[in-house]
Amino acid sequence: MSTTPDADEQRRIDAVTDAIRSLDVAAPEGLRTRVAAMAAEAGSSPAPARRRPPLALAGGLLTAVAAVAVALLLVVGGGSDDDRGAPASVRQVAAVALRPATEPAPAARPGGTLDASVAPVSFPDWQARPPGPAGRAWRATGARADSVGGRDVTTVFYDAPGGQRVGYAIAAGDRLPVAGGRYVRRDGVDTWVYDVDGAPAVMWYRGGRTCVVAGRGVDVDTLVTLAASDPA
Amino acid sequence: MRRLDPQAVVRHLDRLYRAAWALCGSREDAEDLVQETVARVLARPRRLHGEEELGYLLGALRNTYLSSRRTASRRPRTVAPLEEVVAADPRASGRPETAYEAHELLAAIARLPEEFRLTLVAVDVAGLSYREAARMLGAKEATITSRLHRARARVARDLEGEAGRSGPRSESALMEER
Repeated sequence: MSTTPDADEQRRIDAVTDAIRSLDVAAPEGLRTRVAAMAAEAGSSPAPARRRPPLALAGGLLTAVAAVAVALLLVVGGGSDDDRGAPASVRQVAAVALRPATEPAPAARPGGTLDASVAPVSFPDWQARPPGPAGRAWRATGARADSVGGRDVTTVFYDAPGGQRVGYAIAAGDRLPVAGGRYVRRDGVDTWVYDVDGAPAVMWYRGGRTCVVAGRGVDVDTLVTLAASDPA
Repeated sequence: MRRLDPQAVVRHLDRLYRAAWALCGSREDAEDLVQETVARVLARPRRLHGEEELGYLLGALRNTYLSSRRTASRRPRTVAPLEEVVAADPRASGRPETAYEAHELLAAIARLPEEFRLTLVAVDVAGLSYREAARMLGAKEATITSRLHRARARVARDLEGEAGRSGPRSESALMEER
């Protein structure tokens, strides 16, 4: 255990304390850029819904109980094992985007979007409006709906003429944490790149939602281009 | 009760980064920790219940650190060469001695037992008052004072020993000291 420090030791302690208090290590520029982008995104998000009045409390409780029951049914009755228990993560959402389609592709709508959305974000029609400067068209070919960590995840699959396929997944609810992705900024869009079991995935935030595009055999640059071309 | 301004994470970024480095002991882990903390904090609107912005953010950093520590310990760690550490801080690049000292100090803090480390990081690295640190750590101010004194003494002894060694002091050696 410590003993009462003598004068020399106290001087050393004081010197170390001064040195610690005058530490002048700045955050790296990459981190600063990422944090500034995240703060800007959060600052532009719509205001949260106001608290419900007391008279609505009973109804709200019933709704919440029903939601929990539905969530339990979903957890027990469907989804894969890795979807259960833990909160959703970007990597889990990306893993969903790499699975096969289970539903037909949503129809195209006027204005360059598809008839599928995770409010307020609509899926893009990359056939009507080919993404990126090269302008290669990606046709919507399928879709699927999953529950990941208690969140609804909607995925639309797109095929390119060369046979490449990507899944574009949008997770409902608040933004998911970045959790270790490599930061890439393209055309003013902040994206994060991940490796999911050997397949690249790119995440970005759009309309307060977490969006992920992933595809086996598709290079990271193409995925970042797709993400950066997505209309805000 | 005020709402936390999202720009607070930008304003306090340098202090959060230093605190994270002192907690983790590595530049890479510090970056991950700060980014994860910011993502969590900004995931939804936050209200300040009497505390200042920095106190709130540092508390979030501490909680994220504690909750992710086990996962982080399983990940492979990359130790950055000293040259990269020096180059990472542009303000210190012209003063390599000072940069090395900062690196050494942060490493010594990271070797402290957890309760001492959290206290020293809160007060000396991040600049919280004793009262704010006590609130964040759920301890009495007198406890903060005591932990801080012992933490500073340990860092001083560690650095004193460091000067006479070629390598960092092992965790087991410090455990013996506890």
